[in-house]
Amino acid sequence: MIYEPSLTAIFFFIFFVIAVIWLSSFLAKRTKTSDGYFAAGGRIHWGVNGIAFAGDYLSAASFLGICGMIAFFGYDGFLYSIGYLAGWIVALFVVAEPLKRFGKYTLTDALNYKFNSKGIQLTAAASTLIVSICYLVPQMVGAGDLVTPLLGFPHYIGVIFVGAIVIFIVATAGMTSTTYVQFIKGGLLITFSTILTIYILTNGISLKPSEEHRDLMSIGAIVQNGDVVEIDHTGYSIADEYRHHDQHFIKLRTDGRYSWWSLEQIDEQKAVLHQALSVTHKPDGRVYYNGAPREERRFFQVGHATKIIVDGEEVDKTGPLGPFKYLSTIESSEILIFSRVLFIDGDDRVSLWYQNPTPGSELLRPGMMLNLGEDSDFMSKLNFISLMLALFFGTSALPHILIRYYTVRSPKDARKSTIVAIAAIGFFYILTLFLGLGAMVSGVLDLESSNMAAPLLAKSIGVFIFSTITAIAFATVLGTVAGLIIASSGAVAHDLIVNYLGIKLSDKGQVTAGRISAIGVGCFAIVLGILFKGMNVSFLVGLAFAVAASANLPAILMLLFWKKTTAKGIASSIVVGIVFSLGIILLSPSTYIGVYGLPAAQAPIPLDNPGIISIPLSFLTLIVVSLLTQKKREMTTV
Amino acid sequence: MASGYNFVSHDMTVTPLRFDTNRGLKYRDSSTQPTISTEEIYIMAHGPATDWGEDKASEYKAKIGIYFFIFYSIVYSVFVVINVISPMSMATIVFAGLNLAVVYGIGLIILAIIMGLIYNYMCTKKENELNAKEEVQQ
Repeated sequence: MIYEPSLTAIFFFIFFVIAVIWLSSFLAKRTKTSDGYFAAGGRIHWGVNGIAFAGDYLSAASFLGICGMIAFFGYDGFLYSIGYLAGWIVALFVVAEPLKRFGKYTLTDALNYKFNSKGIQLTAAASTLIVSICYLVPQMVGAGDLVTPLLGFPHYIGVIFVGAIVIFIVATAGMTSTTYVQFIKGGLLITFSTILTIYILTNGISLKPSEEHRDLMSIGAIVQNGDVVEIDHTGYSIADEYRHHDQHFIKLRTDGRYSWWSLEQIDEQKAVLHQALSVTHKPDGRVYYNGAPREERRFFQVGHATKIIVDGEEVDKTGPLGPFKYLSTIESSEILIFSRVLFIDGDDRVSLWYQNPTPGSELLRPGMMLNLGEDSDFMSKLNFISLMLALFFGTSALPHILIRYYTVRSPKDARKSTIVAIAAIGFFYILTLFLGLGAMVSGVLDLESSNMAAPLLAKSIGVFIFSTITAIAFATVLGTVAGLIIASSGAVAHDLIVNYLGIKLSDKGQVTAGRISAIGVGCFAIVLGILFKGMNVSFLVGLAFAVAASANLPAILMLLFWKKTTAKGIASSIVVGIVFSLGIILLSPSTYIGVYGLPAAQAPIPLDNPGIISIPLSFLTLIVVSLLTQKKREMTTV
Repeated sequence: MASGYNFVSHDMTVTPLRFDTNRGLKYRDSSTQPTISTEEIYIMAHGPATDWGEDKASEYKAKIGIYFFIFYSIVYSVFVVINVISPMSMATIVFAGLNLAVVYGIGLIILAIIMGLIYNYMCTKKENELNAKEEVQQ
């Protein structure tokens, strides 16, 4: 669909950018030492750090991605919210205080605190860089995707713009400015998500969610031997058909335009054609939306309730609802969602979304996106377990999250800030259920981009809230990217240059190295953000979680709780975790379809989520190698 | 017990601090270790960015942290297992017109917050108790 740049949105955007640049310049004067640059001098208040945690963690994948998944697939999107939040339990109860106690600037410091091992320095720094870059790319791609429709810039300008601002934030005041940008962003995100949720509940659910809402057409048809022979509309003629499993789609022609319809057979002779939405890619590069160029705006926003049941009675509109009542009303009602089919029509590539009225009870239980229902098999169930395992163990192993523990004064403050983070992030994730379902029934969904569900929901309310949400979405990218770049900068400057290579730098020299590394990583992220345009961003976020959970967490946990852990054991487990998690993902069905464009059946490994194999394997490697290297450890331990 | 070193970087030559992993305490041990130069400090700076006092409650906190972690992991695992073995039972209405999937999902989030608050209360209480005793004794 077409997005019109809003002047108010541009104003908010510019205001936010100026505010961030001013803040970074102001804080830069106070950032003279490596402590200040990499760990904000360890002086951040735990409350500020807790909200900054939320700002760091709630990336575009959470705000845009999860809301979109819930809006398109219901409860399955919420499973990500549950898994992402549950991961903080590991951080709070197991990791927070020890990590603060043992580390200085980076994850490598904590893993290496009692070994001073070159192997750990190299592997942990490599793991930090791989995880951070896997996480950086989708943020940069998301930045371009966001800025393009909302502000009217080309994708690459959006990526360069975001990259340049983030480099400025990180290179000027390092962790201090990053912390305050994340704090502001976290606070704004939670505040305005709450406002949006209150609006959704106050507005209730309606069969006609807005004045602009367009009802989709239905046309009667006569069928003989399963083929449509006549339609009950003089303006349309039958042009073609396509069958997909038990689905039957009809291509109709009117005024020189083509459109696709799904066929619902009533009996042997009667049928109804329901209007579908389609995007057709011609071989010469032209793209048609519902049979017309984009400018004709025939690809409209969708999503609404088709039957509303409140306390057993069918109504047209509910009026204001409480949070439980809102969910129970969705549960008992019927919602029009759209299912997607991809096929080739002659030389054209067609993406078709057909109407699929679905009971709310199906949308509010697992199975719409993740294959867990009656037609699920062993591998789909294993994939689900593996996904939930990676989400649970991935959070507390993300380097850009862990380094935030070094910004507070003490282990006690690290614990308190984690609790603030859990409360803030948990509250936000509960809101995602309402935001997603609200978008689902508000007629705002752009079927081409599930990521736009939350901003488009805000747009349906008014320009001010839309502009604010746009600026927050932009801040969401900025805050997370800043955290990732500072983590990568620490890995390069502190872990690799100073510790691993042993290049002697003064304190000021370390800060300069950190700044140069931040600029280098930032430029690299810009290039990747441009090159990976159009790439499935959730794929890369999943990659980052899986690698973090496989490579880092076994090392962290065993170091804390198993006295026989050795440096070689840690380094080996990191390498095995990286190799197996990356290897499985690169050979998985999802990667074959989404990245290589090959059939899923050709993928040598039938598993999409590697955690269930790579995490235990990493643990096992650490145990075996540590046991084999015990003697050496005893000799080197003082 | 002691298994590593941290170095402070304020002076040109400093005494290494021995780190006690259980107590989280840094204490000077100049009798057994030589002084080191600032150059070495730059290379080997792995210690915490900030300094803090001894925490006698760290063992207690680690122990209850593990118990809390195990408890939450079990509740989370049961959620995953129900989804895998009997996804249809997640559709059962259990409370205020809401199904088990929604109640259990939101419940897991709220449980994390509540357990976090209880954990913090218990840790703070123990810290105040043990660390205050230490101060009085001193």
